[in-house]
Amino acid sequence: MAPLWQYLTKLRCLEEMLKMDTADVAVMNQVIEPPKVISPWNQLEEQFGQIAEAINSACAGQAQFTLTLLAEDSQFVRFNQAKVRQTGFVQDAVARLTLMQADRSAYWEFPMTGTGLDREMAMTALHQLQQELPQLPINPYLVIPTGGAKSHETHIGQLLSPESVPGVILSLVADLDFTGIYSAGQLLRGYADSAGQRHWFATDNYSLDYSIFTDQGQALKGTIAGKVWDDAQYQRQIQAARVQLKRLSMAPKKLPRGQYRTYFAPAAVAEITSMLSWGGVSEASYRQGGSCFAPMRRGGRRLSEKLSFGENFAQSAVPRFNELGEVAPPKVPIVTAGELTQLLVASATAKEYGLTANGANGDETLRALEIAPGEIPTDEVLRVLGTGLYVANLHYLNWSDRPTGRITGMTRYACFWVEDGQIVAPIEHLRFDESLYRFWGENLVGFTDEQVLVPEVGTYGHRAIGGVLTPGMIVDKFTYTL
Amino acid sequence: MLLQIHESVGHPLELDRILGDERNYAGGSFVQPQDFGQLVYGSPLMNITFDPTIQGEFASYAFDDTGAPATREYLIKEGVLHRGLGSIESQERLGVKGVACGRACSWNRPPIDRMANLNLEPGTSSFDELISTIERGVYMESNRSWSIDDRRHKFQFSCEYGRLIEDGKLTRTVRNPNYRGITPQFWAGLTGLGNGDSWQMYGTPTCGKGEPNQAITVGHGSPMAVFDQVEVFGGDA
Repeated sequence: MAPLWQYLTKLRCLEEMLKMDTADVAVMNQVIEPPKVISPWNQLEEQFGQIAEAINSACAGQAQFTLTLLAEDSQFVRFNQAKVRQTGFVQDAVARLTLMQADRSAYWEFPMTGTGLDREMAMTALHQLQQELPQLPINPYLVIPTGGAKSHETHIGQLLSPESVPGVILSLVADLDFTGIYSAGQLLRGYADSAGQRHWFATDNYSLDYSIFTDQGQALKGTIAGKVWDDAQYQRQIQAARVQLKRLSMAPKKLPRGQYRTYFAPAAVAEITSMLSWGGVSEASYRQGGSCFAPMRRGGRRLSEKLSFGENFAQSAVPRFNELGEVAPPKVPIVTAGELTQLLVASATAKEYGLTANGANGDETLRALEIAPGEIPTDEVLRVLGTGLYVANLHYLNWSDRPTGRITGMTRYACFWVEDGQIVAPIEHLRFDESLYRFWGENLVGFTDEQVLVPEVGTYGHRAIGGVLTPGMIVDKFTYTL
Repeated sequence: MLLQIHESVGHPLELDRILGDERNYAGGSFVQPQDFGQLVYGSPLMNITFDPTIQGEFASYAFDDTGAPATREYLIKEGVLHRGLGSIESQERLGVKGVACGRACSWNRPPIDRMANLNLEPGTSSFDELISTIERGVYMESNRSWSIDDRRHKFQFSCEYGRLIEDGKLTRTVRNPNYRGITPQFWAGLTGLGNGDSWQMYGTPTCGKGEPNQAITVGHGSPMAVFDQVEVFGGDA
């Protein structure tokens, strides 16, 4: 059999695709799309279903399995100094077959193309797993798929044509120090199992995640994302950025370490909430002593009644099914009016600790977080803030003391010192170190009355899906340490 | 020391960060192009090598993903910055010396400037000799939390285990030892280095960088190191 990689389109780097004027950075005049080597999604779906049936027949009721598919057809264009830095296309489809028998499980991954070759690779994977499974130790908490769920969700978008991307994006920012990445295309998630559950999720989407810098090194951040390219919105954002850049050009103010009243814009709040999927909302993490919410679960601690958050799968196009084909409820409240309602419980955790699962994924991480809005008028945040810090973004957060919910990180991008409701100057960036039991507890002034969907733009391994729907928030006495 | 070397020496010396490629994601660098050859990065005890040729370290290879042959090079010698972490492309773009470090995490990502094995070279003191020179201090082991700003300047790290050093001896265990500082000042405070007996090889498989994102394996070796005037603090504060 030919090497598998021959059936995949490799990333084509800028050097291969473009006629460049210089060896370093070139404005792209031409984008050459690679030929499609993965079949259209409908053929891939048909082939995926046929493979699931073939595996089911081969197992003959003697073993259980799950079969998942993760695929993308993506365009990436990276910018630096308002020029194209790197670009490429990725077509990739990876199937994972997990075989379960006699309290043992193992998985095997193989690429899919939507052609007859897929079935051959799937049968090879099944054979390998059947050979290996008896050698593995028993997993007493193995969960077998048992449900009868089925779903089919397709989101059709309207994306920029690949060849138009550099022109559309750079035409508005040619005079600015613009840097960032445009990612777009189709994303797909498939699921099938031995219980007969079937799920299919496909969406078109894009994101443009960018920063614009002043000559002094100050910068602002912007993101635009969705299923339909919104040129008017992009123009509005760049116009607003030009106003912000003038403010950023003022001499920065150096603040001494200390406690400051602070407004966190939605993007900064979203950064804070990213910590909740890492030793926060996971029931297994709590049971193993690693959750920041342990003081709440054990009693005695609560957060401000102004804080409510949980999963809301209506807020963005994200699959509700998990690795076992289970479909999460449309909403999963986690903290309600400052009280811990529940943590995310996966089926394996439920089996191990005698609990009821709530549709969480295996890692018990947030997939569609929504923070409830508050009562602070969004257009009056500076007035309500009064004197303090306006923080647009945060950077590189980590736990400095997880049992007490203490987080450290840096301010980043357009952050300002505000006096009496007026922006005075950008700041030199500060390190913070503060407990969520303080900033979401007694020091929480409130949330704004409007929410913003902060899209997930990560591309580790593949383009991510989803985002965080959050308002901004004002906090009193937030601690900055360096 | 693994993450201290990684975050406060490795990343700021990446030439693509200095060129601005990473400003929208991982960040830039406090290091400027004119700093190579003259910036005093740390104390004279500080010697940092880039060495993919070491057998058995996490990121060992004979050539990088652009085909450039791997060689052992000093990036920082006796505290002075000499060379950057830049592939042949970045070297050409910036006009400074680099190393064979153009690496991609997989077939679907382009090679970018990456650390490989980035090591702090050992000194001459034994473990006991170093401890005996400290009247009052904290001995820290096993990093468990790391954070640094986007120009690799202001950092904060915490460790899983620590003990007080009192009158030249290790004494009581301390809970959740944290420390913070600013990169050049911190490395300027390097006052002692363990010999080869204390040099240990570590690394991480998940160094994240690039747009589209890439996670890659890097190796870091270090001896025991003593730093003066470090701001140390504890658990809930």
